[in-house]
Amino acid sequence: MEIVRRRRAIGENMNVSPLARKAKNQKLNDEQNTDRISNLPDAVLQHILTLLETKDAVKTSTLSKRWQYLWMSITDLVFMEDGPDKRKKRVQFMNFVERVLVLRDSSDLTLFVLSCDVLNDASRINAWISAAVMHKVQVLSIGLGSDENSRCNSEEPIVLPHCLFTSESLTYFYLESFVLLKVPSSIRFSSLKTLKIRFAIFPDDRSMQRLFSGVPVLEDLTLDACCWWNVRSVCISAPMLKTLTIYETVDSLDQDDCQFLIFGISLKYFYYGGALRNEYFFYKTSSLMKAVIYLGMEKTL
Amino acid sequence: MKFCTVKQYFDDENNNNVTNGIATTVIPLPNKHLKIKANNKEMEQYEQELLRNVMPQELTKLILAANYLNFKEALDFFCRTVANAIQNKSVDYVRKFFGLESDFEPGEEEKLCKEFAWSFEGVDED
Repeated sequence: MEIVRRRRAIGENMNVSPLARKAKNQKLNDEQNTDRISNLPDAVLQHILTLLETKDAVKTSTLSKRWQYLWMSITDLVFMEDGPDKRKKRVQFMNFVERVLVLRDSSDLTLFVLSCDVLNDASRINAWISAAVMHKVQVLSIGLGSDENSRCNSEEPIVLPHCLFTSESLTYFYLESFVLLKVPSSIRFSSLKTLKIRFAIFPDDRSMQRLFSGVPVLEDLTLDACCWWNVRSVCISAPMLKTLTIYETVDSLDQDDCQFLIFGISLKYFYYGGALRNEYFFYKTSSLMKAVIYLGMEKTL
Repeated sequence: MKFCTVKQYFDDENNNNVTNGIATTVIPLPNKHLKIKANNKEMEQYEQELLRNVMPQELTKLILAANYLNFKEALDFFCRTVANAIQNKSVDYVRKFFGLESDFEPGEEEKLCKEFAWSFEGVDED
């Protein structure tokens, strides 16, 4: 599961005005006063909270009354359900995510990472993703697992919230999910620059076309071990696409037989790993500077 | 550019925010930054060396100084150091680290712990 650590890279306009000047007249002879942190202004404390894991940031609410609400405006939220006894802690985990999202204030989110099993909580998870989108999240990373780890679970398609597919704020979207991905009829990621999809099963030609037509400013596309059984052909013609990475699944020797028509007007880099389960046709790739093609059947690339 | 308030610091006669000890740590940083600006690894080593001589309790004073001097890189660095020091630690440990005392009414703290129960799991030993 790719963890997106973009905290320091994104719009770091942390405007910490030197409010400490207010404390200018406070004597720093605080040998008697062992409280070392209360002199710092809220903005600085919140900066420290942004650098912590979400669970540690939220825990600070129990330090003292001053800290009780400080965490509520952190811009990055990372929720990862992992560990050997994640089933036992499932209810606690779900409640934790719920409480954090409910209590957090209305300020914009920069980053939202969610990695958990879906089980019977698809609608709750969708509500969380909607909440992130409503808070104008810029970097979204969703990893949804299933109990059986089966890739052919076509009775349980994943239907992500519609508002996600028309997000104007999203610039980076990573999706990892072993299930059939349904996409809505209207898709427009007006700011999306990076799209990475891993393990997904794509449903049909038309929805793929809708997806790849709805990313006007896309620069970086990665399709990693996805399932193309249901897709006959797909055209990728994002005008600003600079980097295209395709890793084919190596689960079986069957051909997926999908035709990729790639119009690479701005394409500079192409990375491929697989055994040519699909066919790839390139058009207008005069800008191409580097192509790395790995042909093989090994599972790890 | 980097040090908008250095002039202010030297002008202020009664400056209690930035004691001499702190100033000698913080002020050379921008020059060092400029010298090693392209080389992150060297800067990291320099910063680690710097911190070896600094007690954790001094960190908050350093943060205060960096904030007052409007020195963003140093502020970020010191904040990251504090964050690393309290990451995955128990609430008691963090309280001791900051010299804080709980001012919650009895029962309030327990309510909060219950509300966010999942986050209190699996902390490091103190």
